[in-house]
Amino acid sequence: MTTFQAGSRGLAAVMVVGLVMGLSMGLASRHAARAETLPAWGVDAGKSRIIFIGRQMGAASKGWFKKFTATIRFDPDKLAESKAEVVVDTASAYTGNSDIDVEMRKDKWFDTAKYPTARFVTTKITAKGENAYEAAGKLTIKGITRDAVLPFKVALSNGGKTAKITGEVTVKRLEFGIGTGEWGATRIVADEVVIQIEVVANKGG
Amino acid sequence: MSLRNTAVSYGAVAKAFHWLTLLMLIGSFTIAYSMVDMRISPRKLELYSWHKWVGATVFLIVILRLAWRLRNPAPPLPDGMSALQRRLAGLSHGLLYTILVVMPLTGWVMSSARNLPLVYLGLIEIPSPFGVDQALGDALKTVHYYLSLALLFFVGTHVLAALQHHFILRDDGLRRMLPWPTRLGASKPDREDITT
Repeated sequence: MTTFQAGSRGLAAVMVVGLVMGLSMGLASRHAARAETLPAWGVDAGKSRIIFIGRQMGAASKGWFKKFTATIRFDPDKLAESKAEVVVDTASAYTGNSDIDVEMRKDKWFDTAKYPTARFVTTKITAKGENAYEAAGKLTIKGITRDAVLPFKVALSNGGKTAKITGEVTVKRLEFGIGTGEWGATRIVADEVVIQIEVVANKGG
Repeated sequence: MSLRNTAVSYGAVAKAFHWLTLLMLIGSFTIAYSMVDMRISPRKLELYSWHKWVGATVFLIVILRLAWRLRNPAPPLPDGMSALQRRLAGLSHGLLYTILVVMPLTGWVMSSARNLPLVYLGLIEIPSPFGVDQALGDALKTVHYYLSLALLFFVGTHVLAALQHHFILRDDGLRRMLPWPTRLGASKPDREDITT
């Protein structure tokens, strides 16, 4: 499914992307004036996915968040001003196993009633060779914010108007209090969760 | 005891397959009954994995067993059975083998359909080609359940038949599958004694 990835695996969490520019957040205001000159990219929800891969008893289970929004301002020639913010609806986590899907919403996992969203806001995007980038940012899940680095690639098509952004990062669910109590036993459910992004975005969309 | 089947008795290999299957089935059913109604928890996930590993082992054993049986015909049924009894015996043995093959397969496909794929012994990932599919998972859950009832029924019949052969018909039907050395034909003084 993913065109590119490099990494290990794990269970349950969140996030996303690295491209470009978050309009919201006070963080962004410093760049706001300049950033507005950067192209905005609209996410094609039908072709985009934020996937999580957890492991229990050695077996990988893949799921995805059915709902998320992304605000992307990106220009490969103006990385310093490029920014992205992705907000995920935690209650939209879906694995196709109703037992797991119900369990994930409970307080020991995402506690979706109290923490309906998880978010990733880039703080710095750097180039890493051909079409490869790295987005350093703040990842917030269940009210806990941690630094995270998401390596990603951008493949342009449609005359540069459509971008396919793919990336993968491994997070530790317990750092965010995901799967606490009895679920803290990483012998059964691994601490590591792989997050993969596959986002298709259109310039000016 | 001969490794291969003889004209009057099962050999050591066939006996090992038979009794190993029984042990695995006892394990599998015990785990299944304790896990199935649990609320989701790490313990439940652990039990499910164990159940899958035991089930996959049953499948491996039955495949090896059938291959062995193909090259190693079972000893003829005891004398004195009617044609109907012989047909019923063949039918029930065939059904037992069929269930032992099909049931693990339904469990395997169901596991992947429910997004908890089989990783044999936590080491060897064996995803089913049908992938995640809630409707398929629900359907197979029902099939797996009814197969378990059918298996219990036919194992029960099998045990009763073995006991009938031993205690009522007083032939070697049971004795020739016993895991320890047995004197065959002991209850039929007119037959030549054959030691396994």
